[in-house]
Amino acid sequence: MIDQADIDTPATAPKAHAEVEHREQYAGQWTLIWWKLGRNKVALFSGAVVLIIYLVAIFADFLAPFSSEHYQGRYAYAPPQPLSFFVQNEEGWRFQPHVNAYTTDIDPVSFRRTFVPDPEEVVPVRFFAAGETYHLLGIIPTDIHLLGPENPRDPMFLFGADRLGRDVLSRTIHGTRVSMSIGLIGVGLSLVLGIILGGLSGFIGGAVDTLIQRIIEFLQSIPTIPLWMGLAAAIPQSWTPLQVYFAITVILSLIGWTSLAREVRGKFMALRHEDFVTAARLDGLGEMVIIRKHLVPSFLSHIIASVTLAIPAMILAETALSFIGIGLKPPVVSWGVLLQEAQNIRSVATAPWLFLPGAAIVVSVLSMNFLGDGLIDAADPYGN
Amino acid sequence: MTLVAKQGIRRSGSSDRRTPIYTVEGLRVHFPITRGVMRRIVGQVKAVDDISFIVYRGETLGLVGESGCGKTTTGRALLRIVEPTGGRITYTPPDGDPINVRTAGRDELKAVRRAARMVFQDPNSSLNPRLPVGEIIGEGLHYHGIARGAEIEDRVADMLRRVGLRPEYIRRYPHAFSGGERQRIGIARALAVNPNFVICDEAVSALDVSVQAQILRLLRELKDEFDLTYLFVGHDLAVIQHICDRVAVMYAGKLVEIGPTQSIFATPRHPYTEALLSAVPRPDPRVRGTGERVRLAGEVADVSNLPSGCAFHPRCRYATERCKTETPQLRPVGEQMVACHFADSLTLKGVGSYAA
Amino acid sequence: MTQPLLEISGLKTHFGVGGTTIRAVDGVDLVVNPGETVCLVGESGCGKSMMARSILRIVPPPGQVTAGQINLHRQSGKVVDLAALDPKGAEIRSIRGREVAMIFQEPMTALGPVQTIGSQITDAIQLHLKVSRKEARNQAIEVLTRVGMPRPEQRLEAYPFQLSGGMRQRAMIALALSCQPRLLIADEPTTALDVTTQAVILDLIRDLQAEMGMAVLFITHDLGVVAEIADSVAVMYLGRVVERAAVDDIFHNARHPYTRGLLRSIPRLGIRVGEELDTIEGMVPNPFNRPSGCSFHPRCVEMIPGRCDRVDPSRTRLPDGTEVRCLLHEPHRQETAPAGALQ
Ligand SMILES: Nc1ncnc2c1ncn2[C@@H]1O[C@H](COP(=O)(O)OP(=O)(O)O)[C@@H](O)[C@H]1O
Ligand SMILES: Nc1ncnc2c1ncn2[C@@H]1O[C@H](COP(=O)(O)OP(=O)(O)O)[C@@H](O)[C@H]1O
Ligand code: SF4
Ligand SMILES: [Mg+2]
Ligand SMILES: [Mg+2]
Repeated sequence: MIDQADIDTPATAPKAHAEVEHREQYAGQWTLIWWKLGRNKVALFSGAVVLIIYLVAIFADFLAPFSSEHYQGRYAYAPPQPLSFFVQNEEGWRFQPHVNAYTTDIDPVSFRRTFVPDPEEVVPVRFFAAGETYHLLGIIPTDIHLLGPENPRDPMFLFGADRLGRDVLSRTIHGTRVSMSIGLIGVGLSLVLGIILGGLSGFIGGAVDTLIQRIIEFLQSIPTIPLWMGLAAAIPQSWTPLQVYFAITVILSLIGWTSLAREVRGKFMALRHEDFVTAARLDGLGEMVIIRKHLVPSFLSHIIASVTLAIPAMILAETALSFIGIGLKPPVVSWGVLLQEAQNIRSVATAPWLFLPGAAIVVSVLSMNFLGDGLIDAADPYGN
Repeated sequence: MTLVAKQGIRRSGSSDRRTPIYTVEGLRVHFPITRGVMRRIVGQVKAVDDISFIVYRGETLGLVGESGCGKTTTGRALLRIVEPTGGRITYTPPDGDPINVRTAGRDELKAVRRAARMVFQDPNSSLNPRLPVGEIIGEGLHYHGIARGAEIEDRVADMLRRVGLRPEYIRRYPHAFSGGERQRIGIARALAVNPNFVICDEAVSALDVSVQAQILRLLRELKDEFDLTYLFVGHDLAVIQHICDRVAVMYAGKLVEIGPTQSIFATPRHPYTEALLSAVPRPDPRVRGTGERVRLAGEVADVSNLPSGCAFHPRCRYATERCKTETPQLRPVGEQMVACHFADSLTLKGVGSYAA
Repeated sequence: MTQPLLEISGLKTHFGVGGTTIRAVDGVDLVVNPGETVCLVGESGCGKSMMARSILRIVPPPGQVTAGQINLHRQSGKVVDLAALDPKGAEIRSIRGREVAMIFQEPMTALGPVQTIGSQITDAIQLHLKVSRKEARNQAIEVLTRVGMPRPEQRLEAYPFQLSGGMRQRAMIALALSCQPRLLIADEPTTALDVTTQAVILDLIRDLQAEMGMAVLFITHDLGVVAEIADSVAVMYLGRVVERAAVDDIFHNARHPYTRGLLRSIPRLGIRVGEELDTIEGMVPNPFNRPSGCSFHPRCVEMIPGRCDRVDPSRTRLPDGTEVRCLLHEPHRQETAPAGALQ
């Protein structure tokens, strides 16, 4: 065809000066986001914490010494025992993980039983101890726990015990499952609703857009707490814990999707008139291909970042509902349920360890927020 | 040919061999202004209001005017990126029947968009940063069904070479390129599907002077090489004079003057053209302060609320009562077509006096 | 000769980004005399804005003025080195907006969106001049009138978003001129405007300057604008001034190959249709990837092989006063001198 081009064009060709290859030149969006995130140490560390928390949720049965319902009534309100690794005998120090057993004192004034760790009596514990049986990942039957007393009847309460003598550590670990997954599933539901309705709104525009926007405005104008309370209170008492769990998730995402939908719509609207989308249309791409190839990849990273920030809000919402007693209820264990049980003046004074699940909430919410902020910063690696 | 004759469009100039490639008659693009929840229409933005012109095969037609006068909208209407609200647009392929672009169905429109392409102003926003340049340039080849698989890659590499980039760059992402190089990529994308008409919408406006000169040269070389016709939208009159055979001047959605570049620049017939030319800074301190400068007072007319009569009259120093009431029509004056009541009687200043 | 108003020597403004240093401004020398218009030209990214911001010490972080002197001869007769001042200190704040004012390409960077034009101007006047609110308001009306704002009393109550592009530019100029600065730094104030509006704003700046006797440091990349308003010109390339001369010499007797190349590559009105433009080949290198020797040598048509790529040209003052950084104009020096030793 027109092959003399090779001879003519060099006149205008930029002369390659000190042509250096940079790996950035070949890096796509996700690689750039990853590099940018990698420079944000706080976000990276928080990401690792979040990952660990979710691993804890997945392997809760294995990591927790006991099941959530395991109790030893004798040890009600037993305080936390420190874990030590060595015992001293005639031959010197020997490796033997252990906790110290309790002696019981009766307070002569209040007749209240108090536990004092007994330095004389050692309760040997071991890693990968046999204990209650469970199904690892729901399929593999086993009775191995990461840590447990050698004799299953011995006391081991690293986070202390509650009023029924249940291990707070085990219950906090089991609570991770519900608390963390309710955020994830709730946000997942919001995301589906948000992307579909926001996408429709932004893409079709016109009357559909107006309608969806009015619905969103209506939902957002309802005060959240009363709405949640009303709906949660309406859940029939006869529902199984599983049904309640899903009901609560749906309630939480009922509001959550609106802001995601707004964001998706905004991105759609902004991107639809970008020159590169127009160019794609001129290149003969159909609307669906444009959405898949140009639009969705352009805002997916932003959506992921927003989702990361929406999860902690859901976790807190679940906690709040359960704490005031209208969310999840025992025997389900979630951090909110655990805190609800700690809710009396006596525990504040005498059994402060019952609030340790609160620390788990703080850690997970903070690390999710830091990670989300980092993702927001990294989500657009092409800005200045 | 017959079509043009049938439509009774006057062919300006003497050459009878010129064949139209794009014929625009009475084009209107009005955007509704809506209010309130119910999106009630309360007015119209007359971005393009009844303009007619012909682009002839092989020429470069310039489209100039202040920002907001409707240049981009006109260019986009030709490819139906914005829907015209009135008028007729005809694309005539080199071999084949003319296509009515406004009523074209899906397949016909696709054929038009393959033959008529667009280079955008902003080299940053017109390339998707998330795709490697090979994919950006090859998109048209693939979706217009011109090539498949490895053949696309070959043609993209070839295209890169033609626009002065190294074919090894095919897997790099847009952010690895400078502004000028990105504009070359945009040009490669436009030309990859072997079009015969290209709309350059301010294609060099965002570039630095030295890069601008490179791209202008490239556009010229490619024009000869690919036998192209350009509609060159711009606001820099020096650039327009440099690259265009004919120029159309727009003001507030209307065409006020059109004609051969040489004669428009030497003897403008519309007061607005005169003012535009006079405002261009001359890169020579020795002509500073020589000659009288026409300064336009006031603001560009608001296209949602046009002045009566000649839309230019509030800023025009030759305006009379007649201009406030009667809208001047585009009519032939000498080699040009002008929309001014006094086009034949006014003596306006061109740039001839500055020619070195 | 009168005393210069501003003398910049060896100014360096560097950005430390992720282990590398971007030398945005890398040894700039410049003199602005009272009442004079100095144009700073160069392609985008060559460091014009950072150089201007360095004078007022408003370089965005992580940028820093790392070397050099910026001597301002103050109204009081005192000479201060702005480069040595604390960028947040009282002295520089008493200079900013009072003796040295700046206008930008995008008026909204200077005009706050939530305050009316009037209150912004009166605030600025009251910050620097000890006058009453009423007096400040009168001065604000006066300065708005001066920049050609129609109906200035009403415009005092307008918010920036209510004005058109050209009017906003006028409002920003009014704000900058409200305290009658002795030096106005204008960073591409007309680049985003139409030629017609640009012509009006350039006239305005020129008239105001004649009237108020202030000096103007005008930054642009448009050589046409330079020819229209400059008294003297400094051409920048990769963070350095490569040529400094009177405006007529720049256009009719340019010495640096870069300046000549730029002049050849601008389209001019009045040329014949279809006439070829010359181009400068290649493109501006990255500021963190500066070529050895003369940083222009990879694109230079007059490059002396073996010399330009090794020796970093120093500033040479020619008999007619032009200053140029180019080995073509430098008295012959020891060729083997390492580039670094020449600084
Ligand atoms: N999608 C749109 N909706 C409403 N008004 C529009 C739209 N696109 C352009 N306009 C208006 O049409 C006019 C012409 O715009 P445009 O064609 O972009 O001008 P130019 O390219 O000459 O600067 C402007 O006043 C602009 O505000
Ligand atoms: N915030 C920043 N961080 C890093 N580098 C910067 C920053 N701002 C400017 N620079 C660098 O400084 C150089 C000069 O910029 P600038 O003075 O804005 O150029 P000009 O005004 O001439 O277009 C640019 O090449 C850019 O790389
Ligand atoms: S018609 Fe009247 S107002 Fe319009 S350009 Fe001509 S003289 Fe001026
Ligand atoms: Mg435009
Ligand atoms: Mg700048």
